[in-house]
Amino acid sequence: MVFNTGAALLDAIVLAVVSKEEEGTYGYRITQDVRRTIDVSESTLYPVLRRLQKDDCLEIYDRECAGRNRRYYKITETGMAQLQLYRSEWMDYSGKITALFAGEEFV
Amino acid sequence: MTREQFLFQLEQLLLDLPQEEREEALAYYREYLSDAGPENEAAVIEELGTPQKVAASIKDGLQPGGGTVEQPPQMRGAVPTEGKRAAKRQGDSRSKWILIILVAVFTFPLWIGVAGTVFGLILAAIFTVFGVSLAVAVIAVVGIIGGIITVIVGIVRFATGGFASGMITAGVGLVLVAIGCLSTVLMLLLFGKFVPWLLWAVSNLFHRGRKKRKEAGACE
Repeated sequence: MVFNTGAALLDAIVLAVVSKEEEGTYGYRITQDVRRTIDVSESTLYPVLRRLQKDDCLEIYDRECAGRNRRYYKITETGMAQLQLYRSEWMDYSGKITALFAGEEFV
Repeated sequence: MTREQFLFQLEQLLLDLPQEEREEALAYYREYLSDAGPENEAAVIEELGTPQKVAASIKDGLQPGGGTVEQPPQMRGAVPTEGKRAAKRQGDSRSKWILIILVAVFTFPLWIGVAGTVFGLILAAIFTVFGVSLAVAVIAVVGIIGGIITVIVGIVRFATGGFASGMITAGVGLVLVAIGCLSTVLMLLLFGKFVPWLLWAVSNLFHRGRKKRKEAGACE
């Protein structure tokens, strides 16, 4: 991958991935899903998840699983609103660049 | 490196974090390695890199503004957000000082006049205090000595037949002594209490003003 992923885009991608699961998912699954979309190292996502949790975009709950604890992340109302914002921003942003690269006139 | 070695080293590296943050991070990675499964564990540990790298990413992510983000190997041109924000903060304070200096230069006639007046008033106050103290001292000395002499003169006159004038003179002499005594008391008060208090108050004003200015300069 050539282009770097800014903090906001990373937040958006993580929110989008987590929002797909109604019951939420856990760190390892989130990382695998994100890595299907963009190339990040496995240590990139913990700070993002922690920050989104502190910003109230994700909530956590623990579930007993095979004798050990597993922490699940679930998107909140605030998180959904933020994701919507990111979605519309992305449409605008990527649309303009796509048009430029396609050789069209400036929108 | 084994999973336990990795987690142990990571914990050591996070000791400077508050307990909650450290425990959250360790729990996350402990779970992460468990979820990877025994087959993938070694590969994941290798992909995570060194505990130092992971600890750095955790601490970096705790910075306000989200810290720096992942740069793909080819493109290192982008400036991390932290540097930009720090530079902007410095620029703001420097331009504030320039503005203050400019204002001071332009209003020079105004504040030099005010400063001169204030200085003059302070000098006047000092000289007044000095003059009053001197006067009080003189009155004390003259009053007592002169008064005693007058009393003696009065007694002599009384003794040599001039009863009335003798009494009057002695009386005046006593009054003079009394005034002299009062003056002495006043002088003691002045020099013992008032003048030191004045000096202390003035020096306090100066020190407080200097301290305030120093504090304002240090907290940038």
